[in-house]
Amino acid sequence: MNLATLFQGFGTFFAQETDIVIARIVLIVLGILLVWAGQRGTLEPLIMIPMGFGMAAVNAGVLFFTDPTITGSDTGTLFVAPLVTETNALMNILQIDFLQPIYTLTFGNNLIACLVFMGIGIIADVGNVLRFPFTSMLIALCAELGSIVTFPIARAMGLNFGESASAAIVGGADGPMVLFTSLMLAPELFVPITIIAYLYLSLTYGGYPFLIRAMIPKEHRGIVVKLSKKTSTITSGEKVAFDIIGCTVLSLLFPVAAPLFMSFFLANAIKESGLVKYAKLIEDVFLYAATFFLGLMLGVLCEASTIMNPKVLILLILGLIALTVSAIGGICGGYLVYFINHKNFNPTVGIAGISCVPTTAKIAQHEVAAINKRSIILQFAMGANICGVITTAIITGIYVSVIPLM
Amino acid sequence: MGESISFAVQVYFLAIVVGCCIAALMTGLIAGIQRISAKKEAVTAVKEGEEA
Repeated sequence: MNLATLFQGFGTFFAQETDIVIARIVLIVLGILLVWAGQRGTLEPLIMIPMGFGMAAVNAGVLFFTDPTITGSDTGTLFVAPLVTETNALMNILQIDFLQPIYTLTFGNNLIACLVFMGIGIIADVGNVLRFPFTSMLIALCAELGSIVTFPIARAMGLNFGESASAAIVGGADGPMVLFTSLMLAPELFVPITIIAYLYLSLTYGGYPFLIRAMIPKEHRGIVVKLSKKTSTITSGEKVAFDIIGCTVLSLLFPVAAPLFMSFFLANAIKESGLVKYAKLIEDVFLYAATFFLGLMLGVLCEASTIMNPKVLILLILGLIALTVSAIGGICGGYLVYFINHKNFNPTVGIAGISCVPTTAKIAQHEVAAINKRSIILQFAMGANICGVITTAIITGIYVSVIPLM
Repeated sequence: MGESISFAVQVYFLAIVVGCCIAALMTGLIAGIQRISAKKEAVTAVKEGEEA
């Protein structure tokens, strides 16, 4: 027995093509860097630590297969074989691959996106949306600009309709929605698209404050919004009423995205109804288990061949365009409300129209507090933030409904 | 390219229409519920007044 057969992770370096080997090494290093950045808090640790572990382990743990007919290759891993469609191969893989059941039972049918969305629903407070519905909706719609503008750019760069829509929805800055759209419209590219989306979403903490400072002058960032006396408090009953009616209406409009709508609104209704045990189950178990497996699976699906796809570079550019244009649109939306409300509004709220709950709302409040500690905009920001989830779901629903018919 | 831009514009227009309808639904729903609650409270107050 030679060393290459004994230590197959290393051995496969000598059996594979040079570009694949380089890509594997890059991904191993990238995985380690993600864990490091997650541990330091530079990137979102909940996603990045499992993703980094997965990415490093799957690219290190490549072995020789004695029966290439199972995987179609003489090398592979025992983690997961994505998109296996041939029944015999699927049965073989199911029996041996350690993460295969998780992939088959949660990614193949979008359950993972629904579970994460349920988690967002349980932490979301729709009260702020109901208190300022038109303001929140206007900002959120403006902050969807990236999800729209990126589509024709992606088409011009050579992606097909499904791939273009999946790349464009990154502009909505909603991880589960990107996963859902790409699994529905571009399953062959869902790994790079979702990884790019989550990487960029982790970087919003660092990038968006600069954009806010560049686009909004200090005197506007420090504005204290005077609330009218008419502003009422929203009761739990009113929130639950909106949850069930909103869910029904949106499901009627976009049945293809109904599982997502139901997951979000159901979880929110559970919280507002005071079903403490269910709320704990969703928040402590579903959300964390789904986030953990999402990160880990994305990591292990990121094999060298994934980043060798020439479309990955295009996706990197498109993701950046989508999130930047959405942020600019959101801030323009903030200014629109500022002028509509006769300058009694802080335009910094606009950035929160990007539905990265609650990151962008926190960024907005942080930037405002740095100028004027008396200015509290979090309630407006959270309203725009939750509305952003709804508008991203609407655009996802339109893309997923219309594109397969084209 | 022109076809893609036209499609994207249509998607945005549709999203704006649906978004505005949802915002109107929220406003109407909250106003309706609060009006019903106010009426109920008024009826209860009248009943309590009569009993007293």
